[in-house]
Amino acid sequence: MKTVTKTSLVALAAAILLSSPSAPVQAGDLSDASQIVNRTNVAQYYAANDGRALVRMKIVDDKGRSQRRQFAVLRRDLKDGGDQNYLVVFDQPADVRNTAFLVKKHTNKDDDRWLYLPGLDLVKRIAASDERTSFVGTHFFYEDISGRHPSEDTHKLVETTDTEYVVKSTPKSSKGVEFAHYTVRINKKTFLPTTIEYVNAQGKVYRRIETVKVDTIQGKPTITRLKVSDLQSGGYTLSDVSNVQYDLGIPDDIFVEGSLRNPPQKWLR
Amino acid sequence: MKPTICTTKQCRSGVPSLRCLAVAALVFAALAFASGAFAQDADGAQAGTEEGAAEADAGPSTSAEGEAYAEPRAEETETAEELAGDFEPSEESPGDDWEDFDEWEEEAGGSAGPSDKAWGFQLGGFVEGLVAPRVVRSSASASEFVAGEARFRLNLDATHEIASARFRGDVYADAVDSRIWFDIRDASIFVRGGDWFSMRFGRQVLTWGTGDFLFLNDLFPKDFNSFFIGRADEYLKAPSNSIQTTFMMKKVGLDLIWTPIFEPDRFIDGERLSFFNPLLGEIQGDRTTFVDAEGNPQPASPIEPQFPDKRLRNGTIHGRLYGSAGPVELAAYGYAGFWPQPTALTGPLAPPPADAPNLSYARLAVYGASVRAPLGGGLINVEGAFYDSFDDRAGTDPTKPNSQFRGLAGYERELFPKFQMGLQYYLEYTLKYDELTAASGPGGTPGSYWPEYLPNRFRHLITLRLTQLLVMDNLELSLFTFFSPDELDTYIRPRVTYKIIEPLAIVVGANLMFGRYDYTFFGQLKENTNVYVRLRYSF
Repeated sequence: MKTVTKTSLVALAAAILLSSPSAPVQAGDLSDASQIVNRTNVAQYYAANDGRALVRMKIVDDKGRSQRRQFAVLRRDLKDGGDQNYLVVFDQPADVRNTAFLVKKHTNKDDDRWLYLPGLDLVKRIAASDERTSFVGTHFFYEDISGRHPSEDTHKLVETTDTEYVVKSTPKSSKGVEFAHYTVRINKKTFLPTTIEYVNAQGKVYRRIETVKVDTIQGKPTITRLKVSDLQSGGYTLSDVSNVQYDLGIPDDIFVEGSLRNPPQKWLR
Repeated sequence: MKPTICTTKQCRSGVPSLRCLAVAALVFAALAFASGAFAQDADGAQAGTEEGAAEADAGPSTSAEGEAYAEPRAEETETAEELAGDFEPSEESPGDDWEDFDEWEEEAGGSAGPSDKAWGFQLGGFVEGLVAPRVVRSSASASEFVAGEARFRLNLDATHEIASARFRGDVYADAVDSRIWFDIRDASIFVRGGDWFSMRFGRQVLTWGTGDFLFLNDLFPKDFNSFFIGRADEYLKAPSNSIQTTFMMKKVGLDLIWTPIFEPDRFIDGERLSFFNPLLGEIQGDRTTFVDAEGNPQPASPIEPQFPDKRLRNGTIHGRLYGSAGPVELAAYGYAGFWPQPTALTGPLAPPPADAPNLSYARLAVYGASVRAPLGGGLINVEGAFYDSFDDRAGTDPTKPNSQFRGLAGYERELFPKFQMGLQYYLEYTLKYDELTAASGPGGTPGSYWPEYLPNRFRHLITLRLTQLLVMDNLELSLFTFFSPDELDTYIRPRVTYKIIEPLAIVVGANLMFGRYDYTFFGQLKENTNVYVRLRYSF
């Protein structure tokens, strides 16, 4: 009983400390931008300990021509907000069917990546590449898919509405980034971003990522539809995630070369 | 290249350029028609999008559209509506765009993704046309074309949790040798036995090692004809009928591959591509003849070597032990079998043209290792292999190749966004080189019949790869160059790949071979220099 009382007191004290009297902020709101961004990072990219999904993308270029991508993803987290393993197996377009990626994502150094080319039966290790270039020909960047590490930017909470936090993130180093800053609107309940707008040096929004649909899967709010727009060219990519399942108990030892050649159907199907 | 079904040679001579052009024209017409049909589809899609955009411009989206976004799907759980209530859908996305995904789902059927069925089936493939004219005069070869073909590929996959079956088969009409070819590239069954063991048996394409277009420890069959005539990269590797077993022990893997019947390279035999034949002392093509013992001229091409007897002891074994220490990948390799090309002589040893000796495959064992690791934002790889030509370790037998050490060091990295560079240095060191040139063989002959045509004791090779992706990865500019500073020859492979519209891609490229001497590795191929166009429709 004694411990319970103590805990409640600490919680109460924390609540008092957090609700700063000067701002029209609701009880329970966070005011530390870094904390919000870290929670968003975990909510968006680290839901559960492992997961599976089928991702479909429709790419529409500035001339209205469209292309498709379809791939299955297996993910396993080594640590929330830290290293992760990914296995991605392509099904569409037809000419890349059975091409597979193995990614060992690291937060403190370059990711390790392997690509399997089925025609040659070749497992090719890929050198680290610019994270802010097209992911398999879509308007998404590699970084949008695997997550930009929160420590790469400084974050400022610019607005707290009834439903959202609005955070402005400015890169600590302009090396390798094409934006001056970006603004993320974050749902207070789910900590998932609803809109991300990238602003260039001229102060113009040139790129936008919008959350179109959120589903709750095994109790975890999950973005299932996203749209990324290149506002300069007018092209955009839609992404639809289905067949999501979490905490399957995917073992770490499937994230190996052999799984590129012969994808582990047990976990993919 | 060994025929897979045709064994007769009824159409070997003659000038097939007209037929070649006819077939090529037919293929291109068909593909152009297909491309036209797709361009129309694209226009339709464009119109559709414009309509969508127009609607969006007309005003903010209606509430109906908003509901469409939030419409819960069957798989959602109880809290979805609560969340959707908090969630404000974007106002700009054209609503009908998303309906594509629902149609798509139906189309995909059982081909991919979630399925309750025990087996999943996939069907795919492509139709492709390739035309590759020679762009230099060739005295040895009759055909003005190195390739002119229409190809149909069928891919079939059946996958199960613990087993899968795979088929990759090509049928192509080849105008250069006026034949229809069937080439099964894969017909294999894969079985998984728990987490630690798996097996694939049947016809399959196999690859390992760290080199880029350079193979040291990879002794699996290759098709050098395909490589030099503009076929897709995958055709550099030829299939073999093999049994592959893989053992996984924590972070260490062991692959053992047994090919019961030796499968050599599909080497350049003079028929399609010309090469330097040291026995004749000249570049040999399909027009080249030699005078036999009776004084009659005989066609020299194609080279038809003697195969080892089809006995189990003549099979080949390939092994690889691999693992990683952090980001560093390590591997050790072993091979026991034959040289993949017919570099040995049997039969009469007197030099031609009096009597042509038979070419054959000498026994070979290879032991090697490789390391690959990230370095300075790129990747470094080092690989070494010892080619133990154990029938002639002394180097004194002129009918057998000598042992060699082969080494490779490579580095690749992205220099600019979407611009990759890869650099490799390769070394071939021939052991017992003095014995090859000095009079040390039986009867005081040198260890080689053609010491003047031998590669140097140290053969150096430098390769450079540059790749640039443009237009949302739909346009690829690629250049791969081999250059040997000691043999003074070079091979340049420029290539442009453009995905015209989703299933249709065009590839334009060239295979440019130059050399000061006729007898060096790439120099001997200079009369085959060609440009090519390839059009592929994938399904």
